[in-house]
Amino acid sequence: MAGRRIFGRLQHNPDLPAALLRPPEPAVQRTSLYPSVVASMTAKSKASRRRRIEGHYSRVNAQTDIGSKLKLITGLQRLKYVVYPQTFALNADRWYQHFTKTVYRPGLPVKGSGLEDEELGRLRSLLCEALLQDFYYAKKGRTFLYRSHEVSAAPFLTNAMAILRSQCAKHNPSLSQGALDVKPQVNFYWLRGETRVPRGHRKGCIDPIRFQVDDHPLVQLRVQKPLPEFVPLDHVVSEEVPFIPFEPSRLPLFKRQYENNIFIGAKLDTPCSYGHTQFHLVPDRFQRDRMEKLSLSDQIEVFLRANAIASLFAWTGAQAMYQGFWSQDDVTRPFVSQGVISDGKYFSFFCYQLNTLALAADADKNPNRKNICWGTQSVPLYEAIEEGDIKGFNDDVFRQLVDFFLNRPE
Amino acid sequence: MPLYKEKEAYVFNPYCRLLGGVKQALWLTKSSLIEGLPKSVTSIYEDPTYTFPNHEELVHNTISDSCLWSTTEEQRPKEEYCPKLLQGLLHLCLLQSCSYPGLSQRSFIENYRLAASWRRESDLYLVRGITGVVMSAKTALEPQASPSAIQVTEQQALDSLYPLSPAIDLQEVNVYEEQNHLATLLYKNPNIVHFCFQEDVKNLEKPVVVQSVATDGQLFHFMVLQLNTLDLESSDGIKNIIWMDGDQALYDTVASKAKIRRKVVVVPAGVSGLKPETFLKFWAMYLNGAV
Amino acid sequence: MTLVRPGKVQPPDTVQFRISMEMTKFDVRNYLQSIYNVPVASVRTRIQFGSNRKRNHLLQRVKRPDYKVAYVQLAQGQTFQFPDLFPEKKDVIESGSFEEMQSEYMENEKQRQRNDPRRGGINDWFGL
Repeated sequence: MAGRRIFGRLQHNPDLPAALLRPPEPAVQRTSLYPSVVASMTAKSKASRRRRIEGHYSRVNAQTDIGSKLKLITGLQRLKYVVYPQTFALNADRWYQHFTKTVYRPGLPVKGSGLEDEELGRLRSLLCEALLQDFYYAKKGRTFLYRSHEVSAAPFLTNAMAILRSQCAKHNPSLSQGALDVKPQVNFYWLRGETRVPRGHRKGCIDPIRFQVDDHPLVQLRVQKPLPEFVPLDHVVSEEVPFIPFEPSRLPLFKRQYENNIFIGAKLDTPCSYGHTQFHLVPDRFQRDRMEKLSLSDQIEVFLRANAIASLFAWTGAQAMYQGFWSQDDVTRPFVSQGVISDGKYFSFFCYQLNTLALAADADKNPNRKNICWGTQSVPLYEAIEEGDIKGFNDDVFRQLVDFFLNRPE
Repeated sequence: MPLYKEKEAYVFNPYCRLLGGVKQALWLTKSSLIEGLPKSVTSIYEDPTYTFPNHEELVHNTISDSCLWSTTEEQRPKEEYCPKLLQGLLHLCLLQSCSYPGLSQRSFIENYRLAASWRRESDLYLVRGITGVVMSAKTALEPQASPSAIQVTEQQALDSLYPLSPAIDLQEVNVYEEQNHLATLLYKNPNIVHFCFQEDVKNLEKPVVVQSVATDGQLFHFMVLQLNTLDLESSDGIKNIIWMDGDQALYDTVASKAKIRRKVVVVPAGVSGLKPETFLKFWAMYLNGAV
Repeated sequence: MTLVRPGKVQPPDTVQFRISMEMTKFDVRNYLQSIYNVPVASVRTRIQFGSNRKRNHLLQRVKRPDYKVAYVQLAQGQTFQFPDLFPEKKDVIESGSFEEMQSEYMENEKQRQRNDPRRGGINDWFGL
């Protein structure tokens, strides 16, 4: 008994208002003489449950401070599915599309490049130098098993990001005001769909399915103003979001219970609260040659797509929630971010536009609002590095990379 | 063990804390110390043409970003935010490389494994360890001291550590290999004097200059070393020169919540007491060699 | 190694097995690939705890043995549906046959033996 009490005290979160579960009613303007007949607050009935939920929604909507709003949204801890962007699960991209209500479109939204060839040549030589520095000149020792991507690829991508950012800042002044995070933390928590609680004291209750993404991009760039939208918000997408009729645990995904976090890589005080570009590194476990050896070569692109969809959704969604939108108060303007996934040699590019945050079962009303992810297949940046020389440098990939950095807020 | 040797060597690694401090390090490396930074760095620091635009706000944001904002916890522990802060400041400096074309000819290596060995008064000293960040440039730094100043050091005597052994607090090993790797500058470790002393050059026609910055997240130590000689066996002859400007605070305190004791605010919330001059010194060290 | 019907609905490319405790994922993969030529994309295993709750007549705990479950995902877009071993039989009785007469007779008998609903469930022998 005492142990249980102590445990309960440990579980008790002092920051969380007790009102989260049993709220004071918002004041209702009285027009009639008698109070209106409302459902009970505590009964075990559908009407009572609806009233409790609506009370919670109105309390969240009444918050003006975004910090306390996020705290109210993420306050309730229950078992949730932990979505790993870099997953070993097969065919995870379709599942992730279903979880995030995202349609995938091959190809990137068209954008004009605005650099002349001379400038591009200078940038290319700088990038090649960084490439040679990390893959050829620097003497690197042996490393741990399945961590060889940390030796050369990770420093190269970090350096490439820093170089391109500093060089493109001349043409895109917003970058110089932006913030560069190395190995940041990005979290997002959302509800989607409903299920019956299978066991425990709440057995039989209808509960929303909760998801949490804890992402660790290699580097990311945040800017002070939002990027322009790729397509307008009311653009109707012809593709359908794939529907998965199975439980998420069949992917497999596993449930855990811990703090729900919504985080873009910086706290709310930061002036740079909009995303620009994320770089993700393909870990050694999912390298191309290893996947081919396991005869999973069809999963290489699937892995990249799943990674892009999950992590860009998490990042863009967190940015939207930092602006005060949430699932019951859907976004009024689209949010946009870009992502590059690479293993040091193969690059794939993704653009994400967040059109809706209303993913929960009681909010998902408008079927025309879908999130859109554009993406390309992975293409090698170079053929090989031989004796301090780069063979077959792919200019299209390089141009695409520079174009990402030239994308500027309006 | 094939590498076992009868004569023991003394190893310096990043975990060594020298009892003799700077004095011991100077004796081990046979260097003479000059307080303050050399002329080429101070001239950049004082020249208004090389000022960093909008630096106060940017540095403020960098400090709060690395210490307070980049975590879901309240505040990062020092071990985590110190490398982050250094990286943030380096990225700030790197942003200026479009105005100074010389700066784009730099490259960074993190977690570089370095090794050096030398003999001093018949004892063998080794340096092993992993550094913070190494920044290397294509062009060498110009010698900071004139030949006449180098000759002056011949007369200066080294302080002896007596009664302490000069090898105190160094790790004694018998299994070792004499290695030398090339490495240069910019670390996050306080034991800079040793680490700076790393050039794989046997006969020095021209003095080699390296710079280093060490920080514990708040205090910055700037150091420039000019390697004049590698003849370390005896204490006579010309010596190496070290310029040192230590204990420069970048800010006073940083805290996520105000700390109040007896109704007096001891530590205000956020970054307080920001000293942009320290960042400008950092910037001058960074810019040195590129302009 | 037994192919079992999944207790909870699995995606069409997933097959569930009960395997012996000593078998590993790699054994399962090799077994299916080399002997049955089944393309395997991935194998996941878990150990199911057998109930320890039951007691015998001396109130001692009786343990049901644990077993290992393997989930095999098939490669190359193959799917598998566990066959419906005991389909529901549809009893179609032909008119004029012996079975029809029998069932009609049984129904009539039941009708006759049913109590009078107006008596409200009171026995036949009770009353005036």
